[in-house]
Amino acid sequence: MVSENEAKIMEIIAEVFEVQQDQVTKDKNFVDDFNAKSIKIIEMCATLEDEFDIEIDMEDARKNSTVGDAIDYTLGLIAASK
Amino acid sequence: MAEKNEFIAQLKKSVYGKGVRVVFPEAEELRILEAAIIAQRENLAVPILIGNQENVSQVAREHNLDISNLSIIAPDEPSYLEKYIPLQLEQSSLREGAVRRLLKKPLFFGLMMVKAGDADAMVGGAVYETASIIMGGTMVVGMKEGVSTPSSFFLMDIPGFQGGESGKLIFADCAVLPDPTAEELSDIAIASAESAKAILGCESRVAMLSFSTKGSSLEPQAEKIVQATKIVSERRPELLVDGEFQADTAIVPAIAKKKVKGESSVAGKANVLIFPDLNSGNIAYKLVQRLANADAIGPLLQGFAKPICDLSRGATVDDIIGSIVVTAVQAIDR
Repeated sequence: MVSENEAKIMEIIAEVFEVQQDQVTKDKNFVDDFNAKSIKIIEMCATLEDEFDIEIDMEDARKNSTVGDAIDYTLGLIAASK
Repeated sequence: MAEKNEFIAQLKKSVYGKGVRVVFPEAEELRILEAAIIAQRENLAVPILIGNQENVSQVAREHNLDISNLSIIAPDEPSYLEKYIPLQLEQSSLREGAVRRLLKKPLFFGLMMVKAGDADAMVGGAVYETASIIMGGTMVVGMKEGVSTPSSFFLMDIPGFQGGESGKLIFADCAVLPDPTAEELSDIAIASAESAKAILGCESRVAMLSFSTKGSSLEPQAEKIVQATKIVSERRPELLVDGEFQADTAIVPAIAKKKVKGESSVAGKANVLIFPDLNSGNIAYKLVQRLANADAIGPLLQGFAKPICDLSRGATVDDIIGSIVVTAVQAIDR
């Protein structure tokens, strides 16, 4: 079962990387599957910060290579901010 | 290191009193604070520090530094943010809240100051990773006209070398692009020609290096250099660029005379050397540095619409001052 926050993160990823929402699965790699340029990673982080009112260290976040990594990382920050 | 200091001393004269506004997004870092104080005291630049006023003041107090003459701007300063947010919204598909978040980060705020013309150049990288500086620069400041790839160069000051530009050569790219395409190589060449002009104050003579000279090999690796040379000539017909050349053909007049048929304004007298890839560029600069006792100033970023400097994270205060000077020189040229 996908949590509300997880669903929102996936929605943001689809929006930023301009892909269909059903393509956003945890195993997808930002660079290999979405052909992501590094700017898109920054845009994703800024949008996630705005949505969940969290602080993301962009240099840390860049190490997240898959959608699953980014979801776990963001959920961790949301939990810590509560 | 006498030559390095000597060349930096020459450049200091060029920037002295010019009032180049250099923004520092890592103001809470001691080395940056010390370098900014010296740069202002010696009239080499007008430093603008980005950071939390209280945190910066605390670092200064702890180290007995006088920052009373320095301008410190907090990255959430509303008067700036209200001006910068619309500027960034114009060039990205981000929502306003996300842009606001982004610009509150000192690196992006500093880059936006440069983009908006509130600063002339940025010096960072004492704490931030190179990738962050390059990403931020690409996203906020953008690339200079006709260049789509950021790259880097070294200024090599080679004792006893009579060629190049008074013994100096620009080497590129030795630090950023691992395996450039012909298009990317042409970007490196165009950006390097402009870097050489700004820093060495001369007309650039750009040699596109290979293991082949003017068709002596038909290997695809050499063909890529031929293509890149052609692209540079098409895009910037006024630039003096030639190749493909072996390294000795590029810098030794006697060899050039023997190997290159016809007129070339570059062969034998190149002052800018463009390497085919990062392997060759990086190996070359390190060998020249070690075997010829050359001073290697860099890597310095290039290709951005305005000067952005990425410091080595191990940079000393002296290194940072050298970088401020080299960056300010590039800002004067524009």
